[in-house]
Amino acid sequence: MVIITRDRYVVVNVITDESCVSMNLIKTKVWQTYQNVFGISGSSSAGLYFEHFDEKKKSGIIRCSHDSLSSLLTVLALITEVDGLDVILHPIYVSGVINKAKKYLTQS
Amino acid sequence: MSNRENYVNKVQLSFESNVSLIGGSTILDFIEIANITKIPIMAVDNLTIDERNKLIDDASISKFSLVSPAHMYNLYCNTSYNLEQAITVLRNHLSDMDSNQHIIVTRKNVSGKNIDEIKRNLPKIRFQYELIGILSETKNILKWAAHDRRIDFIAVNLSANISSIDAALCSLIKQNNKFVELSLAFLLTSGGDKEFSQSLRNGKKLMKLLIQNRIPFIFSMNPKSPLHLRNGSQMRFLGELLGVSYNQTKKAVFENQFSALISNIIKLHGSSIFDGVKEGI
Repeated sequence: MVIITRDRYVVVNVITDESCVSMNLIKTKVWQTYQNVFGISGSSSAGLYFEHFDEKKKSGIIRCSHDSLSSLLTVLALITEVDGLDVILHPIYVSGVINKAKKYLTQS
Repeated sequence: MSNRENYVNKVQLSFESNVSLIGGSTILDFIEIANITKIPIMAVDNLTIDERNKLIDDASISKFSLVSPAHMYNLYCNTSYNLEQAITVLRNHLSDMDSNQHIIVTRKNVSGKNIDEIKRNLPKIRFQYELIGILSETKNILKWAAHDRRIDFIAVNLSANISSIDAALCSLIKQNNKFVELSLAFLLTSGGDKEFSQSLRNGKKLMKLLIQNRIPFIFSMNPKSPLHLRNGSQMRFLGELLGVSYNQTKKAVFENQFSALISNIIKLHGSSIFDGVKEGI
């Protein structure tokens, strides 16, 4: 029997002094920190995926499994710098439906 | 949708209890980030009440409106209110407060080599700061501080030795209604993996002891840079790394700090005589 995993979509706002931030660097940093704190096994079961990222608006959507939501939010709080640049990855909205997350992102 | 997701979407009242200006950032830098991350109250270390009032006047030209807790108390509370009523009224006001308005609280961390030195210093600072914390690793000093009415928080540095905090001290802290303050800054600033895991181990041991003895505790980020500020729900998620669940830290990011602050504001108010004593007609 196939078990369908439930996902959560976290809308993240990047707070930094710079006008533009690279999505790839943030992606790498989130993966690295997740692996450091929860290990390879933890990060594999989290099912992290960067759905969408607007570099100019400095915000994006990260998908994870619903079991790993608290771990992802902990990791986001732990990140203080990306490639030498001080940042805060501030989660502003969590939804179980991607369209709602996208709608929130466009409205904000 | 579980409660946890709602916690992120719902605004969590937050209280940053130990902002340090020694990193070179100004209070307005911190306020700017606090405004985005929705932290309405910040306690600034080593800022006296007079300096704070001057700062509030200077900041009147900026886009943020800074207020003192005493001003809020005078506006919304009656002197006949008891502590619980005052907390409820001010808490309700905070929920409806304008997002550009921030409350600045003054705070002092006392430290010293022995009890006599701290005893000499405490009377000098007593009425100049709204919150007073103590930072020490010596067992005798901590035991004495747990008894002292003037001290509100017993701050713990998790990257240092925490063996001075034991069940006997916990019992004293509980009897005297003090709070243990855990700085989560080590999670963000620790040098390497070894240092990080040692601090985490200390934190887990201490949290286990505090939960077992039902000691009220508070979380603070102790930020030296504005980008090290974290709001209440983020601090609660960081607390999960210390082995304490999200629901157990409900009071650790706002309620406990706020009750200590309001209790001190009432004491510092001109109409106050002594705890539980009111002026007759």
